[in-house]
Order: sequence, then structure tokens, then C-alpha cells
Amino acid sequence: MNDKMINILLVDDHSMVIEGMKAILSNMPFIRIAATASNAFEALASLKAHSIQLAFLDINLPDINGIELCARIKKEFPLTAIIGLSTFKQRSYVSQMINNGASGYLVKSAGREEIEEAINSVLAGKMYFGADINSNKPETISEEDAPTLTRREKEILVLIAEGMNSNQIAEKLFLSPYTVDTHRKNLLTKFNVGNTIILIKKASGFGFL
Amino acid sequence: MYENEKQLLALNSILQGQQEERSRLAKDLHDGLGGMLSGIKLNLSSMKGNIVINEKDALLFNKSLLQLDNAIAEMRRVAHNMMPEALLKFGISDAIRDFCDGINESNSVKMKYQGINFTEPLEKSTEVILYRMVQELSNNAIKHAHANTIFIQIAQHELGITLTVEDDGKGFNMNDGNIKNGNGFKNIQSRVDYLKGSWDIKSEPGKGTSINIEIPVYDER
Repeated sequence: MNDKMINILLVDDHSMVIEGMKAILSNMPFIRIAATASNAFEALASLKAHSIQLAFLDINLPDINGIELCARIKKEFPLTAIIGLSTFKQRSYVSQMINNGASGYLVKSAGREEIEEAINSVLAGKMYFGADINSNKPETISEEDAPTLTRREKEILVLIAEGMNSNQIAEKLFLSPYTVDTHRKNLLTKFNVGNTIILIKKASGFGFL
Repeated sequence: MYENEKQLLALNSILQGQQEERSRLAKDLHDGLGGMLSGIKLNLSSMKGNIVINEKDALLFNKSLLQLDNAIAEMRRVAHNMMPEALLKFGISDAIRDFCDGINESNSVKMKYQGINFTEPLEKSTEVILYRMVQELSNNAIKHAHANTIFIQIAQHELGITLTVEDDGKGFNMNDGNIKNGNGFKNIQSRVDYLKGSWDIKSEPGKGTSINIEIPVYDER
């Protein structure tokens, strides 16, 4: 046995996907498909029976979903790297898989080159998210960026800066004091500040006032 | 039981049935057809480069692969419009973020989303209706107002939910009955009524539109 061979587990409940993945992986000399599974139960059994370096996990499985299975595998078999596999490429799925310990993510419509690239980067200890997923990086909201305010929030911010209290603002804008208070709290959250004085300071720093 | 209470109950079960049916169809499309198409794509993709074919056939082969990609993308789009799975799995905030990602990718419109204070999950049926309103209002802003930027905000507070959708599009005259009585706004009106909420529109020609929707969250425990 060549110990450079990488043992792979394929988990998907569609036999056509398993067959397709097998066909692609059979072209890669250093890969051995140690087992395939069509549900989470079988997958966990295969992981116990073989020493698996890399598992491809479908997001939608009949028993428990791939996102939960991913967390369980990482807990019980921390050395097994995981690449999520799905028809979806939405950010919500990617981030949930990554949060649960996956090293990469592939859409099932990926071509051979992409699959090879994914395997190589994950085995090298890097993360892989696929071409079309990398291109829309989540926007990071940094401390330094000005928050986006709604029209109503801007209105209320100006009136707060003028020294009005919630009741006065409510009367002026024909809102309930409760609504004004909610807007005030939301403003504090958006600017990440604890009180109105710092709110006004920070807001004028950003040019809102 | 009062007559309108009966009506509301009937409407409720229709909506519920519709939602379940849509979820089932979307799941069938995605899991069934989606799995098969992906399998075909993977099989064909593994053949690529391994077989000797003439140049003309190779072109045709690559073209077919591309068409298959388009078929998969189309299937995904249809299933997603029917019922975004992220909405059922992860809730409204993640689903709207995905919705914005989708538009940011394919249009020249810039979508921004902010969720504030999501502490407890909402009733699923409420989330679906809120999501549909976000879709409808965003589509209006793109199609009719030709907006460049759309800002969506959902804030949870002690009494309910505030949804705000703002755009920098061409706006309209608030006295123009044709727009306020148009189908787009009528759909919103009936959804807001169904959720026992209230809403207001602010718009001015050249200054964009701002829509504010208040939904009370009734505690039925």
C-alpha cells in the first residue's frame, strides 16, 4: 500500500453525483475512494472503519443535514478535512459550513479542474471556496465605516443633536415616543456607542450632522 | 365566530398550504432534478480531455457542457424563487443577505442590508411574508424607479418588527393615484393587512422612495 494515497469519503444521497465524483476522482493518481455513503449514519460508520483524510459532504442528506454532520465529524474525527458539496452557492450555506469546521466548499456543478484545485488546496491546509464563491466576498463592516442610516433615522439624529427628548421628537414627527425610543436605540447600535453624547460626537465625525 | 375572523382563518390556511406546496416543489426540483443534472455534469466533466475527438466535436462537447451549466443555473433560479431554502433553514436575515448577494452579482444595482437586534426567531409564515415584501419592493425599485442603491433594514424591537426599504431612484409624486393604487403597492397593502401592521411611503420626484413597515409581533403564549 502506498502511504501517499489520500483516503476519501463521498457522502451524497444521489447515486448520480457519487458516480460522477468517482469518475472525476479516478483520474487523480493520489486519490483512493475509501468509501461512499448516502446518509449521515453510513458516513459516521465509514469514518470509524477507515482512516479518512478528506470527506466530501452533501448539504442535504435524508437523516441529518450536512451542516450538522460537519460539526459532528469535526468533533469525533478532527483530523478529517471536510469539503461541503451542494447545489447551492449562497453565502448563508457557505458560512454555516465553515463555522462548523469545513475547509472548503464546492458547488456540484463544478468542473474537474475546480475539484482538483479544491482537493489540493484543502490537503495543503488552505481553505477553498470555489471560483464563483470567492468572487463575492462578504462585505466586512469595519469600525471605521460610517453606518447606513434610513431617512427617518437621519431625521431623528438631527433632532437628538438639537437637544430634543423622545417626547418632543415624537410630537414633532407624529410618531409614538416608543417608536422614537426604538430608533434612538437602533442608532446607538449602528454607531456602536453607549450614549447619546458619544452618538452625536461620532455622527458629526462621519458628517451626518 | 365573526365573519371576518372566519375569512382570516381561511386565508391563513390557504397561505399555509401554498407555502408548504412551494417548499415541497422547490425541494423536489433542487434535490431531485438538481442532483441528476449535477451528476451528468460531473460525468461529462471527467470525460473531458480523456477522449480523442475531432476539433468540431470537441467544440460541440464544450458547448453542451456550457448549456448544461445554464440549465442547472436556471433550475436553481426557479427553485429559489419558489421558496428560498435559506429562509426555512436559517431565517429571514440570512435569506435577505443571499437575496442581496444575488442582485449585487447580476445587476448594476447595489443592495445593502442591515439587520438589527435579531434575538428571537420569528414565526415562519411571518418571515416568508416579510421576505416576499422585500422582494417585491426591491423589484419595484429596480424596475420602475431605476434605483442605483437599495437599502434594506429589518429591526426587531420589543413590540415587533420594523422593515425599511429605501432607494435612490426617480421617486414619484405622492398625489399620483396611479402609483399608490398600482398592483405593486396593493400587494404590499394586503400583506401588511394580513400581518395586522401599518406602513407609510415617503417619496418625491428625483429624491427616491422610503418605505417603512411596522409589524406587531403578537405574543400568543
